[in-house]
This record gives sequence, C-alpha cells and structure tokens, in this order.
Amino acid sequence: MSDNLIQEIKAFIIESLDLEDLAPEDIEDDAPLFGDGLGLDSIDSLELGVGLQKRYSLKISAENEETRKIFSSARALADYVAAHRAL
Amino acid sequence: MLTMSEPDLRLLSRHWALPADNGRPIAWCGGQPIARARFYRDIEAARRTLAGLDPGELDGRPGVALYDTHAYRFAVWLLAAWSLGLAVVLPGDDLPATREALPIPWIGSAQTGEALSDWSGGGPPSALDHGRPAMFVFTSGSTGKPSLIGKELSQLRAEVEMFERAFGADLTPETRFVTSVPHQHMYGLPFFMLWSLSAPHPFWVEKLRYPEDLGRLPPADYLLVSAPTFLKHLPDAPPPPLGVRWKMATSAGSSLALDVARAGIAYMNAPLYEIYGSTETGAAAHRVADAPWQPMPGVRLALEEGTSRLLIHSPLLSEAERESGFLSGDIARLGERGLELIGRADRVVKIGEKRISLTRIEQELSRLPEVASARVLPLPHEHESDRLLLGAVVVLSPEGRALRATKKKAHFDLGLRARLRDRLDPLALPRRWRYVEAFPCNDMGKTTRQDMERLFAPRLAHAEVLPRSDGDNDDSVVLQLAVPHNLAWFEGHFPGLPILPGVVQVDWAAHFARLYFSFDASVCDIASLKFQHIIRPGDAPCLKLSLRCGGKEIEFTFFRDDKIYSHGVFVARKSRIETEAGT
Repeated sequence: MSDNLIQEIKAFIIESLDLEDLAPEDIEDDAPLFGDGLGLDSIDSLELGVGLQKRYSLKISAENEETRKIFSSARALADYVAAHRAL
Repeated sequence: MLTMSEPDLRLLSRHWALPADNGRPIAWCGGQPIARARFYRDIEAARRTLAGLDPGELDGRPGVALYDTHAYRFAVWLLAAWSLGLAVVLPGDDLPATREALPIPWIGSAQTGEALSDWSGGGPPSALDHGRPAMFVFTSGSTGKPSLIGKELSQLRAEVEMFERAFGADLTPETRFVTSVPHQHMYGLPFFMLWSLSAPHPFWVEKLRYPEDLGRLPPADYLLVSAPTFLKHLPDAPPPPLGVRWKMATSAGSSLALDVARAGIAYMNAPLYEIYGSTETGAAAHRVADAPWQPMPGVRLALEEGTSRLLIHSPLLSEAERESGFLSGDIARLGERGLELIGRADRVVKIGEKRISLTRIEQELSRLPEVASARVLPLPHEHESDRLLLGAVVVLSPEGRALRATKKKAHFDLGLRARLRDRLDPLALPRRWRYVEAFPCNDMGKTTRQDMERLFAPRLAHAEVLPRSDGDNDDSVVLQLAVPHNLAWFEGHFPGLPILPGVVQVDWAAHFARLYFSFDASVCDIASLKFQHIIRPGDAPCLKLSLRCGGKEIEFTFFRDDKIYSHGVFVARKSRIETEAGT
C-alpha cells in the first residue's frame, strides 16, 4: 500500500469534513479517527461514507464491526480503498 | 414463581398493550425474522436477570438505566423491566460522566455484535404504579444542565395512538419499520420502537447508516424514521430495489430543508412528514415539504403573550402540565398559514438529532485549566442543509498561553477537544477554535454576535475532489470549489463589489498543492501568471493542479467549463533545492 494513498486519504478526510487548520501530517497513520485521536462524530462518519462512494465508487455496508475497522485509522481506510476501489 | 414457558406479562399488558400475535415476526435481524415466541422467551430470560438485581431508586421507585445500541435487545430489556414494575432511565450515551451521574444498575450493551442469547448482566417484582413515570429521558435544558424528564406509560401509549390516528392510514399491516436514528432517544423511541412494538409492525434491527443501505432492503412495505442528516443524502442512494415500497417517512431532530424534503418525497414516492415536537411534549405538529404545519390530533397551539413563545396544549402532557400547557423554547408566529417557527428563545442548538446546550459546553470549557473564559456559537453556514458547526472563542489562562506557545494550532485545538470528550457528546465538541486576548466588543462594550462570527469568516473555499476522468493520472487532481459569501477576503475588497483577490487564488492553489502533492509552494517562483476573469461570491470554479517536470513544477488553473479565470505555474527554485539536497 503506497504512502501516496495514505496522504490522499488524509487530504480526502480533511476536505470532506472541512477540518480547519489541519494538515495531512497532523493526522497520524494509525491514530483512531473516531473517539481518541481526531475525535470525529456520527455525522462525520456518514459524510465520509457518502464521500467514499462519490470519490472511489466504494460502498460501505451498514454499521458493523467491519465498518468500524475501515474507519479505525487513515491507514486502515487507505488499505480498504486500495483493495476495493473500482479501477 | 415465574416459569420459563409462560411469561407472566399481565402486569405489563394492563398498561402497555403487548404486541398481539398477528402471525408476523416481531423484528428482522441480520435478514432473519425473529418470531414472537422467541421474543417472549427472551423477555422471560431478561426478567430473571432483572429480578436478581438490586435496583436503584428513580424518583422514589425502583429503577434501572438502560443503554443498548441493539434495537431488539433494547426492546427485550425495556418490556422486561416494565413488566417487573421497574422504571427505566434512558441515558443518551454511556460516557463515564453519564454513568457516574446515574449510580443505579445499568443494563444493556453498547456492542452491536450478534450475541442475542445473553440476558445476564434487575429488583423484586412490584406492580407498575399507574400515574407514576415508567420511563425517564434526559433533555438539555437552557441552564446547560441535562434534566431528567419522566413519562408515564399512559403518556407513551397515548402518543402511539396519536401516530396511528395521524398516519396509520398510510401504512399496510405488513409495513416494516426501519430507522436511521437512535432508538433510545425521544424521537426514535416513540416513532420507531414503541409504535412498531405496539401496532405491531416488525422492526428492522440494523440501523440505516449510509444511503446505500436503502438499496439492500428485501422486498416489502417500509416506513422510515429518519432525520435531516441522513435524508439529505437520499439523492446519492441507489434507487429502491424491486418490490421495496415506501409507505411513509418521518423527519425530526432539526429543521428539514425544503430541497431535502422534496428530494426525499421524489425518491420514496411517499409522504415525508416533518415532525415538530420536543422531549417534553412529544410530537406536536407535522407537515409535508412547505405545506402549513398541522397540529397532531388533539393538540392545540397558542402563543405566550409578550414573548411569542409557543404554548403547546397536548393530550401527551402530564396531568400537571395539561392545564397550563407546555411553554416551549421556540419563538413562533401563528398567521394565515398556521404555525411558523422563527427561532429558539434559549441557547440550545440542534446538531444532527441532538439538542446541544451552548451554555453547557462553555461551562465544561471553563473548567479546564488552560481556559480563562470561553464563548461557543453556532457558525453561519452557506447551505441550509450543511451541518451546523460550533465555534469556540477562548481567552486562555496563563497556563493555556504557555502550552499554546509550544504547539501547532491544530494540535492545540485537538487537545482541547480531547479534554472535553468524556464530558460531552461528540457532536457538541467545537470544530473551530479562535484564541483571543479578550472577546471583541463594540463602542458600548457589548460583544455582538456579528463580531464573534467575523472571527470565523472562512479564508478558504470549500473544496471537493472530482472523480478522475479517463484522461487523468495520478499527477493531477481536479477540485470543485465553492466560494462562500462570507469569505474573510471579501470584506472591503471591494465595498459593494466583492471580488476574490488574485493573491488569494495563488494562495489557495499553494494550499491545495501542499494538501494533495506535499508540494511546498512557499519556496517557489511563479511563472506565466494570468488573471482572465473575476471570481465572485457564490461562484463555483474548478481548480486543476498538475504535477510537471518530475515533481519540480505545479500548474494550476481556475476554470469553469470553457472559461478560464486564472492560470499559473509554481516552479521550484533550482538553487534552493540543490542547497537543501546538499545539507
């Protein structure tokens, strides 16, 4: 998995959620996006899910353990995008 | 003595109609029906657990706190507790501070896993006292302190009967209930949980989280209990699968933008009722799109003289309140078109479906050693359907100033958010932070809302990456920008004729070059810079960034269709790069 994609995913998170003053390097690859770490909320997870569909044609399924894993960190999200994005 | 095969639910059924056996499953979980017999068995098992607990005291009677994110488990615990005469308090979350504030037994689980057989984990049975609250929920009052509101079974029952009268004609007996909102809050609870349990209609256990989830429902009739935060994404949802028929939907929690309402109605080809109400009053009025509000059956609306606050007379109010009516925090008009809601009288805002007290956030902020004083305000948004963001203006303490000096602003912001996390709902955490020596004030010494809002005027366009088209490669990105009307750069540039300054366009190009390509334009020269057309508030230009010459140059173009607003190239300074490479 390329570092480029992690960088792109971080930019995607910052843009989708309009996170002010935050640069990609402020988000650690393995830090949780929800709870500790960035502390995103339920509306953010909805916006991210919709954004992933638009940007990468990815479908995220209903709330389950897998979804939690996908959103657990920037790296996990990048892994998921790399594995599932429409080519 | 309770037996396993034959649940003793007589106590419950006297005040709360137990779902009658209509041959349909009670719920659907993981695509599988849950039969009524299973439901009764599970209630029985939960009753045994509850009977073994030493219940706490809630308003003078035995009670437990129930927090379960799984709708079926929640229903089992709720009916089991009620059948034992236990009052149930429904906390809005299970944060440590909330648990601390409720020193009574907690039941239920925040795990959404599949374990539906474990009911370990209530007081001696007693008759559920008629005329005393059977359920308590929290609401954030205007004082900032969450207050506990009690509901009697008869009130809850009356509300469900009200729904039947108002909307029952839209449903078929087979209609299944699905929801995108929490089932334990005072909107999802009556509309999704209690209505489906008592009608009875099978309920769909899995919460709808993304619009795609609508495309996975099996053929059936459905009712959707939802909220604006979810409904605004319906245009992104796959079309309803063959055989999925929407009968109706409800929206509550915050105001529903008209375009969102219309798109929802078009998507479902069914009525989408916007519900007005509150935790205290239950549902009070409903409307479809921009039709006038209709009071719910039996509800009468009036205005308090002098304040124009809405006074709600409703059969759902407790006996004590029924005489005087409930004075809401909403300022309203009652004109030719009926009810018109104008705004809130207190300092409570709606984010997602939650009522958030600004006063409470300020209190929690002020407790932190880094903070001398703090003000929190909702920030103006460009589109009605955008999420509401909270901004915090903070005067730091000497300790806070010292810490701030050692950290990047983004890290300091995140640090303050983290400190609030176990005391406030995630939705209540401020998103924008400004640190000031003192709050801005006018000649009269007053801090005005406009002055505070000006601190947050955006400096950057909102941007969305457009999907790659065939000709694109990894070395270019196209952004769809939206230029907000309240951009800081428009102030005074120029009075009456706001224009986006050219230097800001270059600055934005540099910002996005850094974001998407880690390209540092601050050590670059700018070549072939041209401004061809002006950009004004509300414009939606695209920005294309292309990496060239092996990463040494970035070309940027602001454009819209065939029109080019501006164009330029960042060229890395040769000498500088070589110098850096040598160190």
